Amino acid sequence: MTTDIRFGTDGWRAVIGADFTYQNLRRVADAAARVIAAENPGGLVLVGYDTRFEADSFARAAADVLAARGLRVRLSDRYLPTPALCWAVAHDAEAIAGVMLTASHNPAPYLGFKLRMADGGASPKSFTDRVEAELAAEAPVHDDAAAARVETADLVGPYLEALRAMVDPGLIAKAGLRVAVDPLYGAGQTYLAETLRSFGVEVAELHGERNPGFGGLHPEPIPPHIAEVQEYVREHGLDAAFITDGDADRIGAADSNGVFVNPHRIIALVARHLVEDRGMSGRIVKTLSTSVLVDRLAAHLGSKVTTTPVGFKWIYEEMLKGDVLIGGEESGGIGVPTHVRERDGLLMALLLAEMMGQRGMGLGDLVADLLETVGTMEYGRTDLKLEPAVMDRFRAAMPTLAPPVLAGLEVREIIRADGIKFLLPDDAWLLLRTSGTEPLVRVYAEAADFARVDALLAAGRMLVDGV
Amino acid sequence: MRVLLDCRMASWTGVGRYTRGLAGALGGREDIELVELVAPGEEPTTPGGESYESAGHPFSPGGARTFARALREVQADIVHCAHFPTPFPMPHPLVVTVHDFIPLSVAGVMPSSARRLAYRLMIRRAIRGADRIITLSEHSARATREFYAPAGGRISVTPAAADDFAAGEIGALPPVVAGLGRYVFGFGNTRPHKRLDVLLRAWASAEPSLPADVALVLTGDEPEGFVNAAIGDLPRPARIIWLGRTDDETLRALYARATAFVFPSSHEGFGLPPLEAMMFGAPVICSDAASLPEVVGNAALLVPPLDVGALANAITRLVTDPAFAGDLAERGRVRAMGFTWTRTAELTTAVYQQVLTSRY
Repeated sequence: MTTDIRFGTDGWRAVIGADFTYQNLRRVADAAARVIAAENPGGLVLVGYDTRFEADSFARAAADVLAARGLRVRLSDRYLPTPALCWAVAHDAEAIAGVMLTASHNPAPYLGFKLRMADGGASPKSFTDRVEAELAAEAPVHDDAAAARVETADLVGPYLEALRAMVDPGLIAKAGLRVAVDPLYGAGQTYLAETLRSFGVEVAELHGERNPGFGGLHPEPIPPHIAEVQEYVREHGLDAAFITDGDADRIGAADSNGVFVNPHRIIALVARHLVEDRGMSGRIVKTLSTSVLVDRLAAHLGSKVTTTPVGFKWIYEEMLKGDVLIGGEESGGIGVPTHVRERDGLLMALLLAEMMGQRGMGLGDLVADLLETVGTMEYGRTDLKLEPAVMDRFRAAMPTLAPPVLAGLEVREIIRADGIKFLLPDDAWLLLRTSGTEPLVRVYAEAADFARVDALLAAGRMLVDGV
Repeated sequence: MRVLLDCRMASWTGVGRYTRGLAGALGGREDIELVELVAPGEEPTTPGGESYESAGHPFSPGGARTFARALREVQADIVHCAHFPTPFPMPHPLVVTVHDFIPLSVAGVMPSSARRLAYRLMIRRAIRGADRIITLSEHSARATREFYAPAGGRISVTPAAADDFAAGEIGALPPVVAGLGRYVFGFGNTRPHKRLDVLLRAWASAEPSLPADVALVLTGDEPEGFVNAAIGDLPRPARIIWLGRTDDETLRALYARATAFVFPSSHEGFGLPPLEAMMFGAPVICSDAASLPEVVGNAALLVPPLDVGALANAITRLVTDPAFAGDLAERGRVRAMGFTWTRTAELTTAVYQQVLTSRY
C-alpha cells in the first residue's frame, strides 16, 4: 500500500524504516524536485543532513533524485545544523532551495525532510501543498548519470565563519568562561563547542558524539531532557550550559547552579544585549504563547513588539516585512534576521556568551538583573490528551467560553486568535490552543509565581474538561 | 523534588498497604525528598524520614483544612494524595491515587445513600482537580474514565507490589491448621464484593468429593448466620475452620503452606492478596473480573465471577492434581517477582516528573 505522506508544520516527518523508507523519501524528493525545477530548471539545490540513523545515506538518495530532475545539487560532505544549511542557501546567490534531512527535536526513531526557500526560510504551505500534489505512487528509477553529477562540498565552514563574525571574540575571550555544551547527540555537536573554544572558552561537551539512538534522550532542549547537563554544570562549578536540539535550531540554557534558563528569558536577554550593548534596533517579534517579559523588556528598551500566532512561520513572515531585530518562540526557536531568517541555536549561545563577557556577569546574574528590571514572571505549559468526545465538546464550546474568573483571578480580556487567551491582573495570562491533528489541547500560563502558574494550568484544564 | 505524600491512612488495610509500600520505596530514592503527612502520633514509614502531623479524619472537612495548612508549612513541589481525600483549598501540582469505585458500584458496600453521595462528591472533586491521576490497574483507569470522562488523558497506571510483605517473617501456623493434612485458604471477609457467599457455596458443593484430609481455612470469625444464608439448600459443609484475627506473620505462614488460595472477589482496584499468595508459592484461584487478570496473568486459575460450579471445579482440580497445582504455583512465583515497590516508585516518580515538566 502506498504511504499517505503529509507535510506538517516544518516538512515531512516519519519513523525510519516504517514510513520513512528510501522508497518514500525518493517519492518526496522527486515531487519536490519537479516543483522546484518547474520554476527554476537547472537551479542549484543544497542538501544537508543531521546526525540521525542513516541521515547521510538518505540525503545522498534525495540528492540523486533531485539531480535526476535536472537540478544542480550540492550535497554537504558532513552533518550540519539546519541553520547552517539555511545560511548556506541564503548566502549562495545561485542556490534556489535547500533540502534538510532532519527530524529536529523528535525522538531517535524519526527522520524528516525539510524544504528551504532561496532566502533560507521555511517553505510556505502553498509550496508544500504543491509538493504533496506532485507525489507519485512509485519512487523514480535510479539514474546513475544524474547521481554522478551531484557535487559535495563543505557547507558548514563558511557558516561557522559567518557565525564567528556575528560576535566580538574579544568580549567572549576576556570573560574567561567555562561552560558545558550539550548538543543532545544532535547536529550542533562539535560545531558549537569548537566555535566557543576558538574564542578561548573552556568547554565540556556532553553527548557530543554520533549516537543514532540518542542514548534514549529526547533531543529537545528543555527539562527533563537536559537533567544531565544541569547536574554537570552544578558539579563542576561551570558558568553556564548551552543546549541545542536535534538539528541545533533551538536553544536552551542553564545557569551556574544548573537552573534552566527558559527560551522566554533567552529571547529577552539577547534582545536586551542587541539593543543596550550593541546599539541595534528593530521590532521584537514573539508569539501568543511567549512570555510577557518580552513585552515588558521591549517597553523598557523603547522597542516595538509584534505578536504573532504560534509557530516560527509567522515570525518568518514578519521578518520578510523587515525591521525585525529578533524573533522567537517558547520552544527555543529564536532567530536574528541579519544573520538568516531562521532559528539558530548556535548563534543564540554565542550571543549569550558575548553578553556574559561584555557585562562581566554570569548567566544567572543576567537573568536576575533582567527580572529586577522588568519584574519576575514564571511560566508553565501542559499538554492535555483528551478523549475524542471531550475534545469535540471543547472545540464546540471554545468560541463562547468566557469565564469571569480563573483560579481566583478576574478575567480582564479575552483574545480569540490561535486559540483563546485570557488576560488577567498583573500581566498574568492563560492560553488554550487545540491541536489541528490530534485530540490535544495545549495549555500555557504565566504569572508572578509558580503557585499561581500551577493554579492557572489546573483552571485551564478544568475549562477544557467543561463539566 | 520535594514530595508531600498523604500517609494519614497508612495504618488502614488496602490503601494503607499501598501507602506504606510506596512511601518506603520513594524514601529510598535519591531524586525524591519525601515528606510524609502522618496522623497524630504516627511515625513515618521511612525510619528517620521527614514527616508532618496533621489532625482530623482524612474524610472530614476539618481534615481537608489541616491538610491544606500542612502544605503551607512543608512547601513541597508536588502533593500526592494516596487516596481520594484532598486538601481544601486544592493545591497544584496535585497527584491523586484513585483505587476503585466499589462503594458506588457494588450494592450494599456503602448502604447509606447520604454517605454514597458524599463519597461521590469527594472522589469527583479529587479526580477533577488532580493534575495527574494514578490508578493501580488498567481496569481502575477505565473505571475512572467511565466515572469522569475528561480524566482520560491524565491517568497513569502504577501497579502495586507485595515484596515488602513477602520480606517479613513467616510465623507459625495456627495449631488448628498445623494439625490438618491440607487446606484451601481464603479470606472470611463478608463485604459484598468479596463474594464469600460464592466461595462457601463452591466449597459446600466440592467438599463431599474432596479427600477427607482437606479443609477450608478462612481468616476472621464466622459471621452469624452468614454460612447458612450463603449455602441455602446445599448440605452444610463440615470442614470449614475460622481462624479469627490473624497477624501478618501468621498470614505469611498460611499462604506458604496452602494447597490453594481462593479469591472469588468480583470487584477490585488491584488485588494484593492473590499477589501475596503467589509470592509464597500458593496456587491461586481467582475471579476473571475487574483488575485481577492483570495481576495474576496466566499464573492463576481464573474462573468467571459468581460461577459457583466453576469455582468448585477449580478447587477440586488444585486439590486433586498436585502436578498442575505445582506448575501453577511456580508460574505464580515467577510472575509475582515482577511486582516490586521499587518499580512502583519509579513509575510514580515518572508521573511526578511529567507534572513538573509543565513548569519552565
